[in-house]
Amino acid sequence: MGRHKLTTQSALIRRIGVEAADIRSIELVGADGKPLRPFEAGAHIDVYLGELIRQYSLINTTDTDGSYRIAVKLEPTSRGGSRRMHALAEGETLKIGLPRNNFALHPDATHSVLLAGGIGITPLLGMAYQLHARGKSFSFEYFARSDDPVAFAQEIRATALAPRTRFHLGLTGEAVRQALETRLHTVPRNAHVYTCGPGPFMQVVRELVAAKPGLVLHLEYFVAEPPPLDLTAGSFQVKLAKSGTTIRVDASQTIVEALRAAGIEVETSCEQGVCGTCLTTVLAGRPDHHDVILTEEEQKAGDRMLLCVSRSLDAELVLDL
Amino acid sequence: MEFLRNTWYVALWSQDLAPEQMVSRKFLNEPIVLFRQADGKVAALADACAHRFSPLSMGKIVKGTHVRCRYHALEYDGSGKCVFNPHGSGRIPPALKVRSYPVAEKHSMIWIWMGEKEADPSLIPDFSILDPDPKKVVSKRDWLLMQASYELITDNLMDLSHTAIMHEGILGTEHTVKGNVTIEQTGTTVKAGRSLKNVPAPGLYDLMYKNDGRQVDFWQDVRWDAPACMIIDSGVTDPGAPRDEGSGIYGMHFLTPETETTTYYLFCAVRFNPISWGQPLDDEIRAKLSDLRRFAFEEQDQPIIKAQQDRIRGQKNSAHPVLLEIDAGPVRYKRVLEALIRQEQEAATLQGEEGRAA
Repeated sequence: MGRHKLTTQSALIRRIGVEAADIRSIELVGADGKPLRPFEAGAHIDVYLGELIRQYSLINTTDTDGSYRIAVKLEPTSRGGSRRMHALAEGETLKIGLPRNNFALHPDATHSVLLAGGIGITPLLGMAYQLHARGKSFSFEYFARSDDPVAFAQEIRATALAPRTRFHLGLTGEAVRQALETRLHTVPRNAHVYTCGPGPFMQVVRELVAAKPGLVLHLEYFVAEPPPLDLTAGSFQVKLAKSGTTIRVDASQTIVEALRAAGIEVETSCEQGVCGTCLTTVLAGRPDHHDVILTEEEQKAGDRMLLCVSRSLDAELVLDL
Repeated sequence: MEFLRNTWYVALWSQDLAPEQMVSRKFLNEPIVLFRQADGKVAALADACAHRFSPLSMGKIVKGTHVRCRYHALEYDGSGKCVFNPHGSGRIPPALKVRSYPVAEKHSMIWIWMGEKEADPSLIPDFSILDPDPKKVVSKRDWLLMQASYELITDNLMDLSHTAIMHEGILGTEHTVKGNVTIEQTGTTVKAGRSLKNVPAPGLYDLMYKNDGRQVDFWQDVRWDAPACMIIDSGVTDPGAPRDEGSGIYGMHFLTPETETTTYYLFCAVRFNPISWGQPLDDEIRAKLSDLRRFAFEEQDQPIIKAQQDRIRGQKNSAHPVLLEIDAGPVRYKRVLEALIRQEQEAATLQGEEGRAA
């Protein structure tokens, strides 16, 4: 046996906190009692949930006690990650990856501006802690659409971050842009701007920063949970019985395309539901036939389908592949 | 692919077999002599005398009912039994008989049953369009022997998208390339529809309809029945108007394989709702229609299909065509045909096994 580089860690859930109605924070410690791998603010980890892998930003600082802290927002339509994360309990163990960082603080920044939109607070909160701990100059702007108590507001107000943090609550659309514009107006030249938040929020930040030469922008995109399967919108998943693999088919894809994207080649010829080359046995789920080769009776029987054009009436199809 | 045997093939147009006339054919690789007895009944026998295998079709009809072999004058009746031996004692060994094929005459055609199962004339698909009717405008009931497999010809007829390309100006135009294709199956009958709304009437249809080059709704619907009997209902009508207010033509197509790569192709056309312009114009139009159809078929379809056959024959392994949406019709009929053939083969195998077991 060769030596394998360890790429995962086993973590124990030490504490689960309710940060907002739909946001839980989860504190992780090494399952073996040892500190988890160190990290710099802005880092994220992979969390393994069965066949799902989700990324979460670390929101504490590394110089605490070797623990990790992440926050998970429950997506109301979630079928996977966030729902499962919210179902976890203290004392459970999780398989997690090593910290990775694409959003690190620039060591030589004279001033840093942290612009958080909603749950985009998570990586920025850790940065704020780190900047504060290192005595750096920074300002922290926290935008939230709702007036309701926002995640970590209490925590921020109770810590030394409070004087550096400005809350922009209940703002939408143009008001967000105006508030950002105002804040950026007074930012010193050559400041580093860090932002994380919903796409439209980050887009506004990009535009405003681009209009102000000298600023250096750092973006952290959410690796958003893929949109939930929505049959009415045309997405579903296929489970391949022989390999056990489950593959998502988006509304814009055919099953053949989705399989191909996952590296699974299905023999096809016409790819128009005409020739029958990709005829496949259906083990479960009801196909939504769009071919012209099967007779009405065969289509009704639903035990075979043409993967090149046909889709699903159910959220999942199990195929004999 | 094997041939479907327990099915009715069209052997001849009824008109092409006069009383006391014989015609020699080969169907599904089997030499057959068809003859009409004096009373009008048609018989079909294996075209090889049971004695020395000389073709019966080289002999002649005698006594109004028998075929007499040219070699030794053995006479066979319509059931294939030898009924007269002029030699020696005149004794006729019971084995002195040839295979007789069931035949039926319906819709102005002589149909022949090539299988071993009992022949049921009620299985002949409905081609009553061809039943005698003095009011109908029917073109010559014609035939030819094509140097191509019946499947290639069926593919041509079941996918009429080619009419816009190959028969541009006659049966289609640049405006009729993208047709709306539908497919429907009832039992083993396949219907492949193709329609277009509000397009300039293609030449032949314009000629049949208003002769004014105006926009029309255009359709080409094929009905296929096994083994290869088709009606192409095609026509034009005013945009948005019901089809029966338009005018068009039923193309009647019957394919009977001679061999795997040669086919008897029987065809004619029946106009529906023919529009009369009075004489002599009607006759002129009829002659022109006939010329156009013959040109489309003989000068356009036939050379291509024959050339396709040559290419296919040249390929070492059987080639699999890459199909397109337009092939819905060809694919469906082929599925039905293959299933029928498979069933027939399986039944035959099963019978063979039971025979061995007994």
